[in-house]
Amino acid sequence: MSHTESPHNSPARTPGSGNRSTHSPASAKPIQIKVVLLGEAAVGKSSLVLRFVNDEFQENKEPTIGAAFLTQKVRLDDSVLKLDIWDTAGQERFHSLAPMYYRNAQAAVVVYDITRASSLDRAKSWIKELQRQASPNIVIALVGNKLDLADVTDVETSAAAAGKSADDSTGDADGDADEASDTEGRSRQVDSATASAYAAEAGLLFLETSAKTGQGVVETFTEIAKKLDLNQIAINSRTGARSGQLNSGSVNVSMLGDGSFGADGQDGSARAGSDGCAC
Amino acid sequence: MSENTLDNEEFDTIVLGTGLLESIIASELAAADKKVLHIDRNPYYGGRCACFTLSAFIEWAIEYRDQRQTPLVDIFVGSIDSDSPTFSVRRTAELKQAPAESNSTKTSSHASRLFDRLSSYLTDSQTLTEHSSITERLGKLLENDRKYAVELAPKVAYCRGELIDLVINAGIGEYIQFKGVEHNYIVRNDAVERVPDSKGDIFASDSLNLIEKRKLMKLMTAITDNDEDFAQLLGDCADMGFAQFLETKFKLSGKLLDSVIFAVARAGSRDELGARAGCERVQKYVRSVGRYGRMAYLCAMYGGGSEIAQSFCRSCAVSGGTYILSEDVRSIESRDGEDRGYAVQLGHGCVFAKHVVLDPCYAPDSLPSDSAISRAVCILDSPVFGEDTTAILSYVADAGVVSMLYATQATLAAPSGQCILYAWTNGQLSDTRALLLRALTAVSGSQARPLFTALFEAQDMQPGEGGLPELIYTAAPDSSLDFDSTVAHAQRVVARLL
Repeated sequence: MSHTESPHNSPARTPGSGNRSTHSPASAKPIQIKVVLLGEAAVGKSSLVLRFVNDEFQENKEPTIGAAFLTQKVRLDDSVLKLDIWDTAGQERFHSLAPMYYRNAQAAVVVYDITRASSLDRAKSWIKELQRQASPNIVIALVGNKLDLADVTDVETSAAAAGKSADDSTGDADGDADEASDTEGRSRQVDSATASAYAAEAGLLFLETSAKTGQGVVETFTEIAKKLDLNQIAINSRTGARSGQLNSGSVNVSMLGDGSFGADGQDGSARAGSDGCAC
Repeated sequence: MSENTLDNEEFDTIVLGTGLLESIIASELAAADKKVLHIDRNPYYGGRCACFTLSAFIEWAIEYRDQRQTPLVDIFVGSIDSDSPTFSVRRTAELKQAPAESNSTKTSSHASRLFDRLSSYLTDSQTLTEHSSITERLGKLLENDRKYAVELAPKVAYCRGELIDLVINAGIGEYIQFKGVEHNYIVRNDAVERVPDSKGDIFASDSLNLIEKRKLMKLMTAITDNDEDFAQLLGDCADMGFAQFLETKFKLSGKLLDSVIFAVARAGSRDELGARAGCERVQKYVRSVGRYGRMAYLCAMYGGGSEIAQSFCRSCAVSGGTYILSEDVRSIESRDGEDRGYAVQLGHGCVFAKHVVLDPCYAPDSLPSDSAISRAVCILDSPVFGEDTTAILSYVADAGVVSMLYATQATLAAPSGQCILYAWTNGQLSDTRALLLRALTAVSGSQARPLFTALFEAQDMQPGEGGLPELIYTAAPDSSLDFDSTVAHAQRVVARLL
């Protein structure tokens, strides 16, 4: 499975900003960016990424299993960014994410479900955790997902809701009593203005999305890309200050000289999917 | 929330403890499509090979007495010359009256809060005026709190060893950053010397004379050219100890002999290894040199074993494993009737599994075993072997052999301008304290002053007599320098369960 730039990542969406012009266009190697997903179970984290990377959506998706991370390239002005988007692999369910998950992440997407107020509280606690644990320059986007459920109040919604939210990424199908009760006539519980005000105060990007319809999904990642300090990231990756620079190939002499490399690069064998989907 | 209960769920295997050994087992089982529940009672990953910021390490030390493994941690703030540590955290210590609450309690700094918690364990040597200077020095260290990665059981990986192979096979190389361990030193008669450990090194060495160089070259060639079977090389020396073999066959003596036995073959004592075992160790070392560069070992950044354990845990989760930290393990019972297996009572409910794999310190009736490892962590105010390097050392003295690891900002273990020196040896702290302190002093020498030193004893646990028959026990990290014994143990357990 290989992912080229999807049409919706067109440069047209990324208005110019002069301070990133140090990367020469065609020859530039993609700049690798680690993006981590955070948020309560079943808010649609994986669905957002699946929409962004594969432009697809699965109703009643099972809880996340099997994807280490997904990769999507984004073109921004004259740079190409390769976003490695890490999923929680379900370790958020009992609040047991490992510090190595946040390690070296340049961006985080903290997702809540606009139809569940409690999920915003949980998102806020993840943001605190990031501010404590992650690198100080991390770009954080607060994302209210399931926008498709916001305004519709007719029978169709109940139908969607009966199968649990259309957008549920982590179904947790059995025994989710809470969920069952509040899926009846599911509607918005978190209004835009409140979340937006919180995000502004905490210095976060804020967007509302629907992984189901695709609304806001690409924008989320483009906004993140625009906010990253690419010059700094490029410098860091040249000096070996972060991992990943050898994912795609052999260990070359300069890397050996630097003494820092991933253990998988030893014999020049590119890891499966290092240029595409690493799942 | 209802999604956060596990009551009555069935698993193939429940793994208790998130040390590297347990994490490898969990990851391998999940990769083989087993349904795994992996639990730690602590709020952090890594169990007995965890890694902490400095303040978290101090808090760990304060709590440590409450666990059953080890009732003792000594902490020196500043000099280690004196016999008396600044704080002595003991289970049996009579808690002294904490000093009267200072008027700044409300706004007190992290350092003074830690000091307040530690103050019950102050030893008698300090006067009140010294207390404020101790708090001040702790405070200075804690300004860089997050720049320290203090490991409970530091280890490194052979470049061509089982751990690296497993990391590659499990596809988690992506998660871990390694740095080369550039230098290998031997400390004899309190003098620190480089160990020439590659042919190029031997050739270029200033400290070896021509005859010594030839002897070493001959040994390395003989061992590397050999295939797995050393029968021919060993000849009639097969029953000898490794030291005697080197003396007889290669005429090694003195520093050269010690370098091969201790710095390369990592023997814990002069007569620990037989000839064959010694040759195998040297071969592994020599074969590791050159795989990723001119060093034999790799060191994981941000705190070795813990970081690698977390990566295996993520790999397990990606394959469907369920993770719970800070979980209360209340009881483990055999399940009667036709359902063979176990019922484990957790804070999140009662769960069932065909197998339970556990760090023995989770067994309700486990007891400390006879073997103990004494460990020291020492933060120095100057990077004695350079800022951007990692090194292993062996301190060899009549009183014993101490393994040491030197870590700096190269692996993000210490802030710039400082370093961490680890030292460990087999035996109880009461017997090894002086040896560990001497090893630290020999290496820090006159160039560097200790800022913070902790000594503690890591005792393995063994299940008690009354334990359930078919539980599968893991073990605490051993005193070997590398991870291969850990990997081998994990693989034995996995083989049994698949």
